[in-house]
Amino acid sequence: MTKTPLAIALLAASLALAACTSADETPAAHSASDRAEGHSSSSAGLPPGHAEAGQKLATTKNAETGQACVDCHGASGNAPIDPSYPKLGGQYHDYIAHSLQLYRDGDRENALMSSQAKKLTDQQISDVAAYFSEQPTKLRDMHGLD
Amino acid sequence: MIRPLLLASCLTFAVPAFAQTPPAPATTATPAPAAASAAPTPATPVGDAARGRNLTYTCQGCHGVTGYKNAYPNYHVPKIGGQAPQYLINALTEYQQGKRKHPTMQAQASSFSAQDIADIAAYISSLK
Repeated sequence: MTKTPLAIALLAASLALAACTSADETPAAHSASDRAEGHSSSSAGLPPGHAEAGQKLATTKNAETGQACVDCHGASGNAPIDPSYPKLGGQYHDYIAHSLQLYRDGDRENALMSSQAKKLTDQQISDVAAYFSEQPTKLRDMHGLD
Repeated sequence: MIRPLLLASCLTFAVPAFAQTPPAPATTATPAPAAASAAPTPATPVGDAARGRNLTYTCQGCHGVTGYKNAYPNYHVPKIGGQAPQYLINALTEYQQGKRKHPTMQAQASSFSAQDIADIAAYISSLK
């Protein structure tokens, strides 16, 4: 008896959450280009990334911009040349991939990153994300602070 | 019998709650809300890490849980400790202005003044 209302509340809550998401701005999960290309959805739907391929990409000048990732984010993504650029080394691969998808699909704007990401395929995004996520890190989460 | 009603009421709560999120960016245009005095580029305040620390209590709910994941779409909440102050200031300011979109982050950032943001950035960047 007591469990039923709880179950209903939980179900309602999850449905409410789902409703929130659909009312939200286009998430990367359903970006226009992903749909057009028949890609599944979200960073979780990206193909598995390969760090070696990602390293090659990260250190190769982009045809469009003449810049490689490491030209601005530094070696291993750990030494950005400007304080407004993030460190990437050791960042979660799926967050990096999500950010690149947003830039690529025009859902996040940055003069440099938008053009840098414009022509990346899902595989390339996954590879670059894998590479940087596997580098040593200068980042940490906020767990266990006193 | 009760279920459809309950569901409906939950949905009616949920939808308006989120419908309120997008208008926040409009603060740049209207001088009405006091928080909007956090104009993007007046003389940048100097960050006070000690003060920032007191403002980051709510950040911990997501950024303080190792491995915590965002839902829809599904990805890890980023590690932000150790990013440079200017990167963090830009991120929070862009959420505040609606240039970066994330319901929770936009809601968080909307309550911060430029001084708050500088203080938070000073603290989070100092984490090692």
